[in-house]
Amino acid sequence: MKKTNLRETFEPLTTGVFKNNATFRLVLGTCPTLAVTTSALNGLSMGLATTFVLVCSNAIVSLMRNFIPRKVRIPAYILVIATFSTMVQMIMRKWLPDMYESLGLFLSLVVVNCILLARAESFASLNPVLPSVLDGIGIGLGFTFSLTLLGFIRELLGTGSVFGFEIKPLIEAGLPMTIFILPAGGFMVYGFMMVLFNVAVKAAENKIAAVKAAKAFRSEGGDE
Amino acid sequence: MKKLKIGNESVRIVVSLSVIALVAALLLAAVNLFTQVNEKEELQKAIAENYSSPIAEEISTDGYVGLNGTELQAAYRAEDGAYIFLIHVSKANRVGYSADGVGVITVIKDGVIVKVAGYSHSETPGLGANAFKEDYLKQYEGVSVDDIYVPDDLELTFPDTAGNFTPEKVTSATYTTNAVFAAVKGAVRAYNELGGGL
Repeated sequence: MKKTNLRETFEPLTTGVFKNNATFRLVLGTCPTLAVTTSALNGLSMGLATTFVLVCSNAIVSLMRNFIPRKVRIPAYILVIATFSTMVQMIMRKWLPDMYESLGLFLSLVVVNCILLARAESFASLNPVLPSVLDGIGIGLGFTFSLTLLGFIRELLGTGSVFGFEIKPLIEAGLPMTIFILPAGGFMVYGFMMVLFNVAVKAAENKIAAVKAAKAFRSEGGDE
Repeated sequence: MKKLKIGNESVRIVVSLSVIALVAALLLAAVNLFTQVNEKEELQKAIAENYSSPIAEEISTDGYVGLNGTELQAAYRAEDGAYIFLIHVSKANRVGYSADGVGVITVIKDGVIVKVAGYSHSETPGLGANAFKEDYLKQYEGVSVDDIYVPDDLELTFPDTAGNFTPEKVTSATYTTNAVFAAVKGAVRAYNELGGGL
């Protein structure tokens, strides 16, 4: 009994990364996804910044879910999200100035990232603090993973670098194709990755379902 | 005429939003205390990283009119007599892609450009950002201010081949190349107007 509860509690953590992956499964936050994934480092830092805002705003929205009047819940959520988004900006500007410059306008636009509002409205406002925080971590990590992966592929194919480090043999072989760091390349890589991710998750889900069914079948047979 | 009714719900809405806004403001004020950036110090640090001679004095930019689309944000004189300018180029026709514009530090000594360095930009890595790499900016070093054309009507036009010096373009980043060139032109104008070229 206790084991099942624990698994249920931590379920949002894993579903956020795979089953409910914001980028590839829910197709949320597409604008920053396409705009900042010109490099892996940009993708990683944008993902982490969004995760911080997501976790904090989910926690606060969950804490205040019984006090916020229903009619003004959306402005209240936006206020909470904007506060943490501004905090991230201030912190990055002070201690990570290069990253702050690199993310530019899109750091300010974290406040209107639909992932944040969607999770506040559909999860945090209906659940206690711990599951809401775990949901924030899960969805945030899924978003970070997706952005870093897209950035990695686009940077590698577009400039022949990984996390800013040039891979000389690739450059000398003339592999880098500028299109991959342009918007058109962003759409292409995003599309291909979405297909691959969905196929992989679907296959994993089918496998898990088959294992569960076999287990159930065996236990039923054992009972007889 | 219908009377305006202020019920309990309206009060609750106003109070709850006001409380959230107040807490948010206090929280941001507290964070701001620890994360305040002294822009002048940051700039002087960036200058020290790019030019060895220490800053001797700050030059007043009051009343100075720069090239259109450029802004002289700071001007200094180094101990060795060099002039250091920070020019910000905003997004303008055929100049720069990022909305924030670009900031470029230019050091001019005895009528010759001795250093050009990027200060702030959010151009795409691998594309526009290549125009801020040291290897690319090196081409400006050693160029005489007389070889760089500065329009008298203060209007920047690109492509610009009017002067004796025209920078090489970064592949697929013509507008960013123009933005850096515009910043250097802005620095040359500032040099001519604010003392160095007199």
